[in-house]
Amino acid sequence: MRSDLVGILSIHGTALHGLGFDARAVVTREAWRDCAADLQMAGARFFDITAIDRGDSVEVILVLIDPPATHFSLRASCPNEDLRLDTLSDIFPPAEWGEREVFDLFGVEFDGNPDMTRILQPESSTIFPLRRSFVLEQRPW
Amino acid sequence: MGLVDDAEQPGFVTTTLDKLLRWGRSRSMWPVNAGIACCSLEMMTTGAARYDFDRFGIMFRSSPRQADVMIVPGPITKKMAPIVLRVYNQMAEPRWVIAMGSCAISGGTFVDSYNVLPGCDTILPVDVYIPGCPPRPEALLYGCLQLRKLISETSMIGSSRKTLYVPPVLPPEWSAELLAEYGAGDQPGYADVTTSAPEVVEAAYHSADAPVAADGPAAPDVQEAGDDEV
Repeated sequence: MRSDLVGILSIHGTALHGLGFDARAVVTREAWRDCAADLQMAGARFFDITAIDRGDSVEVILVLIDPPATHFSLRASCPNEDLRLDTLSDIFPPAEWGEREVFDLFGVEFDGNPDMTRILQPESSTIFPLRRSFVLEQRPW
Repeated sequence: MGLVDDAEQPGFVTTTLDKLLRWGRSRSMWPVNAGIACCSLEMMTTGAARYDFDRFGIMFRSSPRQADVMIVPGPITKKMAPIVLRVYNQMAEPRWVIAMGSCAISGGTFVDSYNVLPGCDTILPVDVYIPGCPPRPEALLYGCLQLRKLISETSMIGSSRKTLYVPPVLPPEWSAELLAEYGAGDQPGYADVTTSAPEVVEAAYHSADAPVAADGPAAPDVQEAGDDEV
């Protein structure tokens, strides 16, 4: 991990924990977008965006690459009552579809995403199937 | 059916138009070229040189307008279901459906998924089920030959053949526009299963049979259709 990326994380009030693929930095929702923008300016590259349902909140995970090969993740939690987060689609253009997938499967809405619609499920779907509260349909047998 | 024993005009065969149509249809089953999932690789193998669909007159058509058999080779996701149904509705009647593989029969290993239909017979009237994961090309060939037998035994004139689409189950996520387009028309034989009572759906389903039942001899020639060599 380069020292300037560590410095950017500390500016936004967080630090890196864990090793290897588990290296993570948890930021507040307010610092989420600014921190990602600063990391992008410092050379971090987009790898993936996904989420985990923690029960009372949904943790959105932005996986970044510190070139050439070091992965780390930036995480922000959204409480279940207010599943909103600022978009990163103008900072990392590939994140647009990733954010749509997180919205499709977890229900987190990204403010500022130009096309916040379903991407994997039918447009008329109303479920968020990877949430812990989602119950699969019971089979009749 | 029989040969006309006339020395002056040899080479005539008498038959019924119905048998002639059945003979022709059963020997030119053209499936629509719609490979949905992994079973379609076995379908391609069956069409290739080693197993050779063409020797049975089975040739894949790229347009549903030219096809009369739909082989469903895989699970149908809820997002794919309207497209599959549209392709089916674009096919010319009479048309048949083969469910190929566990997923097309019952959803297979994806049966509990939030995004996969539990079998393609929830939206399509299936004629032949071919089990396997995937079925071997021999199994697909056998299934197609069973369908050929079915076609050659089913009368097409004044037919009781159900080709109208009456879905037993529609995915609840389908919007009202999709239901209006695919499911709940005003035509006879159609019923909106999402709003109608079960007996209404049942009556609509059997209303496709009604003309034949009223005409007296229902389902002609099923017993005597074993001799399909015209």
